[in-house]
Parts: sequence; C-alpha cells; structure tokens
Amino acid sequence: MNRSKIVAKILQNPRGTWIDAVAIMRGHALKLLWRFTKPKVHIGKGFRAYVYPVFEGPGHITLGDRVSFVRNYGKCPYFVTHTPEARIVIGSDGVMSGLRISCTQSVEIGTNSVLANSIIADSEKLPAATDQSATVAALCGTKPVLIGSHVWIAMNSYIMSGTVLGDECVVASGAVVFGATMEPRSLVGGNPGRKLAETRAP
Amino acid sequence: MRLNQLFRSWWYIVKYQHILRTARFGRGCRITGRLAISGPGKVTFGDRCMIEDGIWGGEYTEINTHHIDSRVVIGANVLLRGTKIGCYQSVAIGDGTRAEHCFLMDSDFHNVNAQHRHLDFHHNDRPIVIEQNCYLGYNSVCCKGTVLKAGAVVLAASLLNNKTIAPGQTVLGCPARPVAGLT
Repeated sequence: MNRSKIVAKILQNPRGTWIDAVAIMRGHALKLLWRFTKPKVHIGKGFRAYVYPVFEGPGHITLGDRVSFVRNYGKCPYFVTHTPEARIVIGSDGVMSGLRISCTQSVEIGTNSVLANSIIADSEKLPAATDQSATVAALCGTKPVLIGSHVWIAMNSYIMSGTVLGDECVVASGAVVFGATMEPRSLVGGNPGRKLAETRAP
Repeated sequence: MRLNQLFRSWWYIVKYQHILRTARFGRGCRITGRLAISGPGKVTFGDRCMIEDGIWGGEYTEINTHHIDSRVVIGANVLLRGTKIGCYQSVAIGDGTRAEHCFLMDSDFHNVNAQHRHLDFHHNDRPIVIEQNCYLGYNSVCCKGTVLKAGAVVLAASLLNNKTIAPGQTVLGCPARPVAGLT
C-alpha cells in the first residue's frame, strides 16, 4: 500500500484510524507490563488490544503474531489457567471478542480464527485450589481441546473437553459441542452439537 | 425514581438525542443502567421505555448499527434489561415487550466460507420483527429473519434463526422448539 492510499484510508475513516492507533499503543503497553508481571504470557508482533483482556492463573498463554482483542457486546476476553502445566496457544491473525477460556491441560487454536464471545473449557469440572496438579487431570475429566485454523466460533457457544475441530469449521451460535471430533469444513450447531452442513469448499 | 437514575436518564437522552443525534427517545423513558449506542444508523425509543442493566451485573444495553440506513425501532413500554442489538437492516420491537440479557442480530457479520470471511456477508440479511408483549429470556439469541408474533415467549438460552413464532407460543432450546404444556 503506497502513501497516498494510506492517507485516503485515514481521511475516509478518521475515527476508526484513531481507534486502531490506540489499540496498537495499548497492545504495546500491555506487552511491556506483562513482561514484568506475567512472565508466562508470550505475545507475538502486532498485538492489538481494543479492550483489556484478563489473564489469570499459573499456566502458559501464548499468542501468535497480529492477534487482536476486539470490542463486542460488553464482555472482555478472559483466559484462566488452573495448573502450572496448562497451555493456551492461539495462532497468528486471530480475532477474539469476549472469548472465555478455562484451561487445565491444553487448549490449542490455529491461525486466522474468528472467535466471538463463547466459552472454551477443557475440563468437565474445575479443580480446587488444594488439588495436587498431578491428579487434577483425572479428577476433573480433562481432555485437551484442539481447534484448527480458519475457524469461526459464533457467539454464546460452548466448546467443552475433548473437542477436536478441523480446519475451516464454523460453530453456529448457541451450539454446545461436548467432546466431538469434527472433520474439516463442517458447520456445527445445536445442542448437542452435530454437523449440520458443509461450508463451501475453497 | 432515585435522583441518580433521573440524572442518568437525563444525561443519556441529552447525549444520544441532542449531542450525537443517533437516537430519539419518547416521553418518560427511564434509563437506570448503562446504555451504549454506536454506529451510523438511527435508533428510536417509544414512550415510557425502561432500560436497565442485566441481572448478573456488567451486562449493559448495547445497540450497534452497522450501516447508515439501519434502523432500530423500539415501541412504548418496552423493558430492555441488558439487551444487545446488532443491526444492519432493521430491528423492530413492539409495545410492551420485555427482553432480558439477550442478543438480536439481523446479520451474520461474517461469511461461512473461510476464504471470504470478512468480505461479502450481507446478502443473507433479513430484518428482525418482534411484536407486542413478547418475552425474550436470558442469554437467548435471535438471528436474522426472526419474527415473534404478539405474546410469544422465548425461554432462556434458546436460539432462533429465520423462524416465525406463532402468537402466544412458548419456545425453548437450540434450535428453539415449542414447549408442550405451556401457553
């Protein structure tokens, strides 16, 4: 993109450009803050924070490049890890709004994902603070959640322990997916979540 | 009405009707919770509307319009308790409707196909029409094309997509189905 096109884009939407600039600056500030306060949070380049996310717990949280947390209907992104071994990995170019992740073992999300305000949990129950971390997985029914790239998870959906979503899956709003394995390019919906249709092949 | 609620109503009406000019309020509107209206479209509230926060806290009423021609028309005596409205074409809510913390969206806002996810996604839009004296339960979702006839009841956490609900019917579930034994 050359300079005249950038200037035209700014003039077309000056307020949006200002909001983007504030989000990029807020991302830099949060990264600088978390380098000292949260050593297990790793964030790639080009991080944009349109809202303040909340990261809690002793586990690892890794975000790829150009991840952005956008504003959507009031909830902030809320990532909770319950054990020191827990890992939340989100690939590059993800857009998240109000996503809540509860992790005791591992939650992995691929690149180019669009995640609306939904809930992802990789355990059936939550561990108590007094539980030994070695026995948490057996106590809480933990199974890792694995989500492919180019996935769109629509709002108010629940993705529970042991779910595997292939590439280019779409989870409809309000769906409850409990430990199912979905093949790539399927549209998942309903309670319990099942394959409703195929998204168009590329 | 408490004094701070009176002040809050006055401030939101001044802000959105006179300063930002995105909304018009009828007479006697009571705004006791937070209200956020954003986007280029127009919002109209009828007389004696009540706007409150959601019952679990932090769930404020939010209306986002995404096009200059999008219209949100809300009738008289409507209670919005932390309702979220996303509007591309039009959302109409009739008189006497009560809505809890629920989501009304007349567009998908993304394409199902991963290659064009952020491109042409507005060709399937349909307006949402909610008639008089309906009830929308907590965390329910009304997607594009939903029509609730007069007195329909949508129970908590149900999902409606492109459906017409008969007058006075009660629906529940994902996707929403009529509940037997309730009228």
